[in-house]
Amino acid sequence: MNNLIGQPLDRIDGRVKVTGRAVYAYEHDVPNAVYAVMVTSSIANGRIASIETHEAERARSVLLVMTHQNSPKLPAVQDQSETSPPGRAVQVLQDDRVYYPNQPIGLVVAETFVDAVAAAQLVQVQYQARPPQVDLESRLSQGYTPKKSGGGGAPSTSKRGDVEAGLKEADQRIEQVYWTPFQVHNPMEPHATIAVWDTAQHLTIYDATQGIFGARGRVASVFALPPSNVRVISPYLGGGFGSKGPTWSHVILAAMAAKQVNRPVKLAVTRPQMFGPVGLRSQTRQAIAIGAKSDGTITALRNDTASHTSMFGEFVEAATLPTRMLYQSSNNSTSQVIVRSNIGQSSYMRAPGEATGTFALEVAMDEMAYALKMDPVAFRLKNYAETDPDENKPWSSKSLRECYRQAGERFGWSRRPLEARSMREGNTLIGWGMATSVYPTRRSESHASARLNADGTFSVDAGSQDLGTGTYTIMTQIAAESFGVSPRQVRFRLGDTILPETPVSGGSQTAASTGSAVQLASQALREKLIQMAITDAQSPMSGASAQDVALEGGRLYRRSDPAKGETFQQLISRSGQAYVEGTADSKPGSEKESYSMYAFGAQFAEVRVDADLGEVSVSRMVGCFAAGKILNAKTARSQFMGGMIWGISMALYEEAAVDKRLGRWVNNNLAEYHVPVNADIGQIEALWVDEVDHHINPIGAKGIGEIGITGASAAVANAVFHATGKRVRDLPVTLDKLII
Amino acid sequence: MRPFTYTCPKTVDDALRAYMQTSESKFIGGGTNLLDLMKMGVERPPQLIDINKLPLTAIEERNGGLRIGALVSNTAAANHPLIRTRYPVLSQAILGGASPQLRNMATMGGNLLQRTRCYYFYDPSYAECNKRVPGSGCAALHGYNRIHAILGQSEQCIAVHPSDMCVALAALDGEVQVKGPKGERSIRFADFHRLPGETPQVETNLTSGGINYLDRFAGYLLRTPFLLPEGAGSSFVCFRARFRGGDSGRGRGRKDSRSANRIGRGRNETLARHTGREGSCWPETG
Ligand SMILES: Cc1cc2nc3c(=O)[nH]c(=O)nc-3n(C[C@H](O)[C@H](O)[C@H](O)COP(=O)(O)OP(=O)(O)OC[C@H]3O[C@@H](n4cnc5c(N)ncnc54)[C@H](O)[C@@H]3O)c2cc1C
Ligand code: SF4
Repeated sequence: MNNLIGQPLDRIDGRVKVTGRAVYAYEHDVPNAVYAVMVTSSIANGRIASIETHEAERARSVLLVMTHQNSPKLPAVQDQSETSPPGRAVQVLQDDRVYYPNQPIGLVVAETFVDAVAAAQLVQVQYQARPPQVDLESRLSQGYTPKKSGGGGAPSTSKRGDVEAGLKEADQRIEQVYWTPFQVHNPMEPHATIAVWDTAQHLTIYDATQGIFGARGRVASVFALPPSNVRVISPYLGGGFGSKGPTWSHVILAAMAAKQVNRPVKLAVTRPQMFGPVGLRSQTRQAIAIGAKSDGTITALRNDTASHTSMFGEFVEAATLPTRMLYQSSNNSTSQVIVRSNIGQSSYMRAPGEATGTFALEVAMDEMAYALKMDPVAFRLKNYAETDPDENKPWSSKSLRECYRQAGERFGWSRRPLEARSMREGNTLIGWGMATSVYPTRRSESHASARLNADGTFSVDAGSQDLGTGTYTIMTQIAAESFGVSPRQVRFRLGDTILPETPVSGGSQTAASTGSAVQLASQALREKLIQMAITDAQSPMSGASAQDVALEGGRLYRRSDPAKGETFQQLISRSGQAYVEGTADSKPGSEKESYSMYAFGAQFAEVRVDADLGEVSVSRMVGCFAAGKILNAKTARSQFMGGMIWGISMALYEEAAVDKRLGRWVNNNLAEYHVPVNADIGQIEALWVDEVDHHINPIGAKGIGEIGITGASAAVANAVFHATGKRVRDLPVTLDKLII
Repeated sequence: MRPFTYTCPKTVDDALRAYMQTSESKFIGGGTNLLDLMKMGVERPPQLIDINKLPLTAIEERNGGLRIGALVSNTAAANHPLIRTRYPVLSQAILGGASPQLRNMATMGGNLLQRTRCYYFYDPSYAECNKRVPGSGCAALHGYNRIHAILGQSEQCIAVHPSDMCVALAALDGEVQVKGPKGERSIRFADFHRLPGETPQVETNLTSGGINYLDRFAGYLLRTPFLLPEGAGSSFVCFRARFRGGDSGRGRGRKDSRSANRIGRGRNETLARHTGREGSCWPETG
């Protein structure tokens, strides 16, 4: 089948999901399972003075109350260094220290979920609390410069030219501080795990994870098992957004408890507990300086970012990265400082670094455009980077100009008056704003296998995960097109560590990495079958050239004489094999050394602001993205829109609010931590530019999971300025910031 | 689980009798607020009296005004033709709050008696909250309090009553009819809720004189929470500003209106803009 890739194929998993037959981590029917509930800390810093468990132990059907007093000690988690990456340092009841609010400090296991919840409430904890350290501004001097910045491993500081000289030379200067708040991923499906010790030395884990192989490796190392003795299964996920990338404490706790009670243990993290033990996005403070000549040429660009990490691990919210490479700027410097705070580990959250970094940079760019009295798009085009100014390399491809043009035209940008507060409808102020999107193209080693079975069925396997984004669907499309069958004939399996190894579904790399592997494995199988046919004396294609053999509609035949052909079954049955297999070991090559690889985009937003009340709504938004080959028009559109909507959420609603005296999250539930609902979202349009990029990876995809959120919050904040004349530099843009 | 008993009486008098037999019982309407609070351990009733079988579901015309049963759902009230035409502000206020699913379950009585969404009240692991544990202090006062009151607060409590509907009812000068063990009475809507003052745990004037009653609604069953006077409704439109911008049901009809009385501040800033009479909108802070 040709031209399947790109088609808006419906989701392969759509039917099982809407009929409730898709089995999520917590729902696997494991015989004899018991239920675990975590007890979490109500202080942010200190020690457990006493923890009283007698009453809980005596409660109905309770099998185990585990605390640091009676937990098995795990040497592998005790010697963690403070620079452990997120998800490495876990809090699994090894001592009495409390580092952050909602830290696991106990685990109650009972025959039923209800009994476990009730007993958990009977655990009495006394603390020796110390003052929490959560404020960033007052503790900037306690920060340190990490060695690396962000997931890509870029250095944490950068410098080219002389920013001070560039600022002096400038006709206009913008020097401002921008803030983005703490955010919590809050996927609809909370984290959940079932741990089953099949034997004393073999563990099966059903886990809501974005990385089954990472989970396998982590669990194996903690329990000192060979990785082959751990199996992780994760066929469906209800979202992840980065929070399910690392393997957090609750997974280890479930396995510890299962060993203790000698039964399978189910453990779900509750919604309030999602605020802390399973990662969050750090607040950022970004001090930006831009200098520009009156013709719009940028003479200096600087971003000094501070963010939080936990007391026990290290994560850098690398907001400086876009400042380095998005615009031509010969005088450019960035620095990154992280401050240890009493928070759960800050971690990857949809476009870590880019989502926060584009907010500050793109708002600062907007401020400069006003200072120069220039159109914001024209100002960006004036400083368009034709090559990567940071790494001094050509782009593998870059269609940002086209994105500005298409999105701008669709939006009607040319009709925008330059001055702020110049569009009004009665009591409603209207504003138009825009921003640039950018996200790096990543790829990791990945493996896949494709099999043609003796019964003629075609099955494709790759470990991988589907976060709800459409992995099942695009892999099916890729396999069908690469092999030459219809998507209905493909059985694609993922989400199990017995399948070929693949990377974490993070960094927007699944299509590029595993998509490439699936393509190569399917092509390998196709070639193998053709070879079988032309070398098999009994085949009607015996002796034909490989180019002369076509594979279509479940059979192989000679192009030159289509009557001469046979079915897959006929070919395989003569060989006596149960199946024929093609495999692929696909890894990045040297392209990274020669090219700089990014997806780009442009976003335009219209906001309507009540002149008296300051209430903001985004009435329309248009984004156009250039992200390599688009594999499925329907799932891609959903990803772009989902990112844009999250950008609106970041701009207007989301903030994990902390009581600084207590160091606790006060709004740790979905009634008070606001995410947009359908009624909050106006018209959203996602367009894209089709790019053919031969440099990035065999499938030619740049990844689309994260680009949509980048720049989106800045486009909204810039539109709010255009509507009201009020510049809000700390997200979210709430009404009090506009009316006071 | 904290054990509790459950009863589902068929008449108002049976419901009151059940209440008298077990002190600290709770009536349950839609349960959208009470069940959450029970799960959090804030409310710990030994008995739940399910009032959904009581005949309190009618919306009737009465002396040119309207009488709305305590068990009328928020959705039914907001969509009722008489309410939509005569008291649009009430319909708009209800539709401005919560979500369709919640409004389908929520009752008029329960909406009136829903409790504050102050974070510190909702989570008993916070030691300080005068409303939950009288005398313990007020964590919000110097804590994270941007959703709290700017009018009507006290040193003891700065929480707002979270109901959108109640703002409209205050503006409409409604009346609440209740029946308790000592009989029936009517309370002017504006006198129904109390400011927190020294006793934030006492949220309404249902227990007149009962200052130290921990049970705020001792024995009173709201029968017809609202008797709305004739002709009151037409001069108001409801403006509700929220941190999220959902346009669901906000009345934007009267652009000429300029006398906005702000009532409460924060996430659910509810405003009634009054076109005719100045100053008739009341803070319902409780
Ligand atoms: C996620 C969420 C968002 C919300 N958003 C909003 C919002 O934006 N705006 C808003 O106004 N509200 C909002 N609400 C609150 C909602 O309106 C209330 O929960 C609802 O109105 C309560 O009605 P109910 O019938 O379910 O009450 P219940 O939970 O059944 O009862 C509440 C209280 O009233 C008592 N009670 C109930 N009926 C009677 C009676 N007839 N006589 C005596 N006592 C009685 C109960 O004992 C209990 O103490 C929200 C709620 C949730 C969960
Ligand atoms: S404001 Fe009122 S409800 Fe909130 S903590 Fe203070 S006393 Fe409790």
